[in-house]
Amino acid sequence: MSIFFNMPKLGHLMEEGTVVTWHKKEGEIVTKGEILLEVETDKTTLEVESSVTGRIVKLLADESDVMAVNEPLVELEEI
Amino acid sequence: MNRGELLKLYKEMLVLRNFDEMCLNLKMEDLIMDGFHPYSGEEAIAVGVSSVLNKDDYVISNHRPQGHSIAKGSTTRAVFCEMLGRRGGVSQGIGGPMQWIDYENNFYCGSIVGSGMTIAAGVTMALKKEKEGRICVCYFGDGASNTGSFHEAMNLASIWKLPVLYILENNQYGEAMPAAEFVSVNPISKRGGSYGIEGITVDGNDVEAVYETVNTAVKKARTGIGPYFIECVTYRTRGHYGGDPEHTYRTREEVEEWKKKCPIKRVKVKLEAMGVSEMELDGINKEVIAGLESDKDWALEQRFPTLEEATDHVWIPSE
Repeated sequence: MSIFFNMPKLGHLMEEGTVVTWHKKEGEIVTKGEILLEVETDKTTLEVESSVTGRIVKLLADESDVMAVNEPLVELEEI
Repeated sequence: MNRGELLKLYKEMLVLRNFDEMCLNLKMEDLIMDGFHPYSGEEAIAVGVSSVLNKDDYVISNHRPQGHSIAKGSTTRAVFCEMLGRRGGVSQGIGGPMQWIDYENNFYCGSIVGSGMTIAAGVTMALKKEKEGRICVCYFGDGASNTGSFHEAMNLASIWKLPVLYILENNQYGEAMPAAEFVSVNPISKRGGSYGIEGITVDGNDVEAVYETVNTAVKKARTGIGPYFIECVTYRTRGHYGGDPEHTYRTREEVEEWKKKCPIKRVKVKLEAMGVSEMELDGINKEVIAGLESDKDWALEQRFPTLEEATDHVWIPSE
């Protein structure tokens, strides 16, 4: 079953964030709590932990893409 | 503490930790609409303190109240609902993640730093007159120890000999500023001396030490010997709030060092030495997570308050 990791809301007024760097590639396994990517908000750049565990099927955004809060960033499959 | 007692506290701390981590995710999903302040790393304090309180004792908390409230007896279902602003919450979803009342458990919290100190003095003034041996615990942080109300409350509590326990959770940072840069004394408990209150500093990541210290103080406070000022030294292993760029003001190494002193891990090691199997301990964690997941799912199905309900309990004088 597919699970999705979405753009997190990292600040009270944040509406969108820019993907800075992916720390994981397609096909790799990410575990809950592991750093998945870096996101730039209007205030700062933050390392974002994965809230799920799974194998990455597809990264749905490229580096420097701007994504809205709650928009899917990663499609994963359960392991 | 014997094995049974320690297992009980272990499970309670796991409830707080898992509840907190789930709330952090809810915050990231934009489902918690106001500020959420994680309690991860500080569980031994709420659990150790509440283990010696009675249901009819009072607790006044701050902007980081979820651990204090659940340890005092609030159900995780009701606190999830309050975090999410839903009906079914401890304050029916009109309080939000840092200001609620759990009337049944005599629990009150508010987000204005330091505001609880003088409120606790007022509550205990009433309890002293009542003469039934009830007490009040007031939680606050290192930052709050610099507010005017801290000093006013300590003086009032001392001069009136109020049955109050001021529990300072020194988690090392006032938001992003290290306590050493803004508090003039170390340990902060020394400030009690200015008001004739014995200040005690205890390892806040050691649930048994917290229990022992608070138990002695509570027993005395019930008989009219008080107040007490207990500083629990701890560390919040998450940011000040969900989304806090914490690594701009503290190093990863520092956080990792403190994670080694995790209050839950410490009890786990002790329980294993007492003969409890790792399988049994992990089983308790799984059981806790399953219960919380079900409570969270239930809370997400509850409705939001209506606009009319937002003014429930607000007294509006008629013309």
